[in-house]
Amino acid sequence: MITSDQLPTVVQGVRVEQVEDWVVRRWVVPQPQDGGPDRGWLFAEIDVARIRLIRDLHDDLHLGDEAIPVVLSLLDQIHGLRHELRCLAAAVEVQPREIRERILDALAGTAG
Amino acid sequence: MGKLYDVLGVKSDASADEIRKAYRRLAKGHHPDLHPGDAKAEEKFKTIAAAWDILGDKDKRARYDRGEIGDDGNPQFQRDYYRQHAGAGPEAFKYQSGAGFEDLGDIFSGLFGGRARASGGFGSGGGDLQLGLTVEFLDAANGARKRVTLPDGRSLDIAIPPGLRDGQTLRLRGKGAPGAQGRPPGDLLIEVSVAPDPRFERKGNDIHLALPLSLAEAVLGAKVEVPTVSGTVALTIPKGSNTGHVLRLKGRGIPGHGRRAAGDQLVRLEVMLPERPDAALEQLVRGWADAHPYDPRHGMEKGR
Repeated sequence: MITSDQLPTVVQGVRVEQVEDWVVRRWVVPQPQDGGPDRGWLFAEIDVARIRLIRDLHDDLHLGDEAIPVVLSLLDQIHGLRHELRCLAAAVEVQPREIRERILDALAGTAG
Repeated sequence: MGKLYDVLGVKSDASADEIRKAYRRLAKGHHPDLHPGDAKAEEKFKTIAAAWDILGDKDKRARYDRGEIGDDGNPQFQRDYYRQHAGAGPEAFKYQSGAGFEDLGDIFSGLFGGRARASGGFGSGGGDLQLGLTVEFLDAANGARKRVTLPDGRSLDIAIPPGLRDGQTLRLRGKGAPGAQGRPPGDLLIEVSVAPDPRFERKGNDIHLALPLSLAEAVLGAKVEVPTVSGTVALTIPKGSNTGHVLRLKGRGIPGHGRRAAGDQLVRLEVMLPERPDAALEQLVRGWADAHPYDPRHGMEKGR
């Protein structure tokens, strides 16, 4: 967990007030410090990685403030979907071989 | 010609602007976080980013052109991408969205013989709930509180922030379906449609309005009442105003909110003749026109 002040040293080219704006827009959802959000935010690793992504979208890919939430929402959905697919795959994985093969056959049938 | 120029697909004499554009185009196509499932994207993006690191910097590019930096003279970019966190790990669920997968839930509940499933879907956090809400134009412009009833019977007071746009989605964290087995609840997503108002047209944070004027008001000037999103204001129409003139009411557009400054209202004047033909006006204008000819289509025949 790191604080807002530490962010610029971890994510190159990002300004504290920029990130605070992103928090207000809820593009990033850090955890409030003990004693409430007035005392600042704590950023987990996933928040830092997300800030790095938003910086890339904003600075390098030149996406505007209107486009970024669209991209983030689609990415969140993709990660949600990938998670659900992995759960499904795991459920198939633990089935007896015969059932797994029947599922694979059926998949090949629908894909064709 | 250096290999790095090939990576970005530009000529070695390309301008800084051309290089920036080429990099942006490639980065959009290969950024690993925009291709969460493509393992090769990261390798490709590394090459592109390494080329951009040198060619995008005036000094480094000059040194590269002089041969002082080699094609692989740059330390490899080692960084972690968002997808590594969003895909797995203790925090992966934080931003993942299940919104819009309700149809999948249907598909799978059919597949599994109708066995009851947690509303959260696949054992992750609670599912997101989606709701549509229509608000009046003025409520969206000024902000309002709306009471909504959810499909499960709960009612909630929703704060519509001033200046909300048509189609915007409000996300209420933790107000969606409760999570199973100690997982966090889902979010409530409210997609807000803004009903149009025949008087006002919104462009950005400005409001456009057409204001009809009588002939007398346009010719002689007047003070008229004009509706704005925040109430009626008295507007002075200068003498000799014409159709198409635009008067700006500063700060009378969409109200400011947070760091956003208030927009303006732009009033476009439209001179209206009386609805019924009028003999007295005809006579007056006939007498006036003979003595004061003017050509309102001046310049039109030149075709530009």
